[in-house]
Order: sequence, then structure tokens, then C-alpha cells
Amino acid sequence: MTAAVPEPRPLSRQVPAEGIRLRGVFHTYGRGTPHEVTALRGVDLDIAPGQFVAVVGHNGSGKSTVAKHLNVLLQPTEGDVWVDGLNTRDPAARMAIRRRVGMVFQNPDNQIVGITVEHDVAFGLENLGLPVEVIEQRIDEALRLLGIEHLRHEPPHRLSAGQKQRLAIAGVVAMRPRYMVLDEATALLDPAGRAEVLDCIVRLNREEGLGVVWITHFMEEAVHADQVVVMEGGQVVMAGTPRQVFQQAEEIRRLRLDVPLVTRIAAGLRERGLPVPADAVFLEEVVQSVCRSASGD
Amino acid sequence: MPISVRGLIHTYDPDTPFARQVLFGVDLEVGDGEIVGIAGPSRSGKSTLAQYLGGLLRPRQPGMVVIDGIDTGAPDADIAAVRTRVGMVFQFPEDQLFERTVELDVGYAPRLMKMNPADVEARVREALETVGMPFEEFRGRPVHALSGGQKRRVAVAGVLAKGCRTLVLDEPTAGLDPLGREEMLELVASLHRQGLTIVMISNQLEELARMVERLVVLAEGRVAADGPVRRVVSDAALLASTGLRPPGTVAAMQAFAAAGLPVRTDCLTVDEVCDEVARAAGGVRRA
Repeated sequence: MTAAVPEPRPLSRQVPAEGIRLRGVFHTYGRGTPHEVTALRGVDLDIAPGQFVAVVGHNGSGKSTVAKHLNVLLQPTEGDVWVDGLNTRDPAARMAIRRRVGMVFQNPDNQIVGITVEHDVAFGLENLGLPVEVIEQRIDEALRLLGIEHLRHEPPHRLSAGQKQRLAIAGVVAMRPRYMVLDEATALLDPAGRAEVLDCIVRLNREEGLGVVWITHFMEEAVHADQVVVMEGGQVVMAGTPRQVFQQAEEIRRLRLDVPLVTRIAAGLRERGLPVPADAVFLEEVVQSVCRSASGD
Repeated sequence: MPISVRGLIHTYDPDTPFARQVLFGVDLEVGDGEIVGIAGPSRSGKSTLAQYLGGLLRPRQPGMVVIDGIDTGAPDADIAAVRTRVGMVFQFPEDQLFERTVELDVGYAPRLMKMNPADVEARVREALETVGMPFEEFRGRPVHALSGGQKRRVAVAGVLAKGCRTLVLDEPTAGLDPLGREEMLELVASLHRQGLTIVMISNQLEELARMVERLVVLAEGRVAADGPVRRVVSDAALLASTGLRPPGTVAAMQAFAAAGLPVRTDCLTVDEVCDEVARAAGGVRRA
């Protein structure tokens, strides 16, 4: 995929009323200084409402810079970002965009302000000036969705890292955003905490229709996505369903990313003559095809 | 014997209402040149134990920690000497660099130890070569201009320059991307090949299974297992009771076994998994 400055196109055709769209987005940090770094070089990306998009790439590939464009923490140096038809360059749209797009970062300790779990979730809601009954109801709902109702009166420092990250997410969920951007939200968690947080997000996506942009360098976490976007050098270099993307093992290795274990096992079994689908991404499907062939069906 | 821990007990904030016991009688021996993994879920006591191994904590309650013959619980123990035997490497060690050049940073501890300049240089040279950075090429490089992986190696060289022959690494790959992780693991493997004694603490059995020969599992402040890594990471009952996740290869074999394929589950590499599954599937088919 080559980077190009976007052709001027008529706005009406280019901007969907729903979803997130990036067109020809360039971003340069420290422009005009000796420390100038161009982090994005022409990114095009579409995220439909309710979609689960995984953005993967190694450090410095530009994935966090993309994330920060989605709720106007950064604006493009060139190109445009629209959220539900609102352009992030439009100062009047900024607050509306931030209400639509919630952000969760790596370190939960930096995102928690309350003295108890419920106070923390209430923080954003109180700032919206919502009536107390509504706040109560939204807290109940957010704690239930993240499975931390039982921790309601605990001080956050008594929580495990996985529980803290779920609390940070609950605080965002309570604001009822349409999309949630999670920038390496599991990078500092242990494997159990990682699974805990990812399970909650998958459920919010499937059951509540929350649009999810999941930024990670763990390829294994991308199998649940509708769309996997691979970044390198500030550009989108691969995009497709997990099955389409993971099959290109050579390309993934060239990009210095891990090929998921299930994909590697499937490839090894095929080399040994077992009838395993080449695009397998879930362990269950590999196990089933091997067992079927073993029993001679 | 570089490390010997006997019956170690640790309580944070003892004799207060906040007292919390985290170690309940830990025994651990690490022999010269060994590479040992310590795994355990969050709050199992791993990092507390690590601080004893590095002489940052000293036994005040029943229990004994002896590092290279120095009993760190003894009132007159030479703790400064302990810290020149066992080096600690924490998460993001590159954050601990502060000098202008590679040579100055790695030479910081030897200079503090009042070594003469020729000896300092020899130490720095040896430490840099050990982490795979040729001395002449890197000595004058400004620290801030190094890549993340190079900074991490300089930080480890800084620990080695104290003269440490044993390294305790506490979650050395947490937060790194796949490339950074591979570089760090390759570095640890090469240090072990060069004869250093390594204790690697991690909650990722995946990594430990690749790296170490012997694995110790801590759970709730006690040693729940201590043995060959292959046996420990495939012990489903042990892992379930401690809340640790088996390596992906072992989990895959458990899924094949659960589906009725007659396989062993202690596979640590993709090749082992595929060979074992192909063997069992072929066998079942022929039967």
C-alpha cells in the first residue's frame, strides 16, 4: 500500500453519517523543530458502528498516534478524520466527538481518580451534571457489565491490575460512548488479567453493540476482531479479517510481529499431511478437523 | 551455591492493623550457572522474594537467606558485597540510565567502588562485550541516541559491571513489543550460555518454558512446585489450583487430549505439538 496525499473529493460522497473514517491522515510531531518525526504517512481506515477492529503493529508503527486522532487528542497534519459525520478539525464538534469516543490507556493507575470504585465511575457522570438517579443507574449498569459489582465500595488500590483496568473501562462505559478505543489496555497485565479484560470488551461489543478499536501488539488478541489492521512505518500495510491476515505468515514475520500460535500449529499439521484448514484461527476448529480425520470420516 | 533460601517468612507492616503476610516459609536453592524460573500469579510473593535475593530485603523474621556464603540476616552482614554478587534487573531497566555516554553509564558503579581508571575501563569493556556490544564501537555513544533494545543491554551491562555473576530479572519483558521481547530473551539466554547464574521471574509460563530448565511455582507465598520445566508447566491440576495459564502449546495439547486423541500434553514447541498430534492421529487412523 503506498501513501499518497488524498485527492480532493466532494464531501457528501466521502463522509458517512455513521462510523469512523480516516482519509489520507498524516501526522508530524514537533513540526518545524529539529525533533520533527512523521508518525503517520497517509492512513485510510473505516470503522463501522458496532465493529470490532484490532490495530496491531510494533512500537513506533503509528498505532497509538492513530488512536489519539479518534477522539481529538491529536489532529491530522494533513487529511481528515470524521466520527459519525463530524470532522475532528471542527472546534465546535470536539466535545460531541469525545462523548462518542471513549479512550482507555495502558496504565489503569493513571485513569482512576475516585476513592472507591463507585465514586470513580461517578466522576465523569457528575461532570456531565446528570441527575443523581440517572448517575446511580448508570453506575449499576457499568459495574454489572464489567463484572465488578461486588467491588463497589472497595478503594481502587485494593483491586488487582485486571480489576483496576475493568474499573477504568467501567468509567468510560458509564458515559455511554458509541466507540471505545483501548490503547494497549492489557500490556501491563498478567495473562489472567489480560483474558479478563479482553473477555469483557468482546462481550460489550457483541451484546451491547459497542464499537471497539483494540490496539495491541499481541496478535493472539486480534482473533476476536471483525477486522485486523496491521500498521508499519505510519501506514496501514495489511487489513482484512483475522483469517485473511493471519494466513500471510511470512508477511507478518517480516513486520516483526508474532504469528498466532493456532496459525502456526495449523500450518505445521498441514505440512505433516493432516487436513486442517489453512485459515484456521481458533484452536477448536483445528482440534475438530484433526479428530474428524483421525476417526476416518 | 549462589543462592540458598530456607524457611523464609515475610510480613509487610508487621505488628500493625495492616499487617499482611506474603511469604510463608519459602525454600529455594540455586546452583552455580543454573537458569531457574520463578512463576506465580500476581501477589504470590514473587517480587518480595526477588528483593531478598538481591539483598534489598533482609530476614527479620524466622528464615535464612544466604547469598554466596553471606547470611544477609546477620546483623553484621556485608550487604554491599551481596549487591556486587547478585544484580537485579527490573522492568524497563533502560529507565535507569542517566549518564551521557555508554562508557560513563556502565562505569558508574565501578567508579563508586573507587576502582582505578584502568580497572574501571576493563570492567566496562567486559560488561559491554558480555551483552553483545563491542566496547570500541559503543563506548562514546550518547545514551539517548541508542535504540530501546540497546539501552536495555546497556542497563544490564551496568549491573554486570559491579562484578555480579548472578542476575535476578523481575518480569524483564513486561510491556515490551514482540521484537523487544525477543531481544530481551535472547540476551538472557546468551548471559546464561556465558556462565552466569540466572533467576528469571515472570507470570508468563510461555516464556519461561522456552528459557529455563527448572521452574519454581510460588502460590500464596509458598513453593507449590519446583522441578523440570516440562513437568511443571504440563501439570494441569497444579496450574488450575494456582490460577496460572499453561503455555499455549500445552493448552493446545490438552484440547486435543480432551477431544479424545491419545497424546501426551507436555509439548513446549510448535514442532513438538505437530509431531505428537500427527503421530497420534496417524496411529488412530491405522488402528
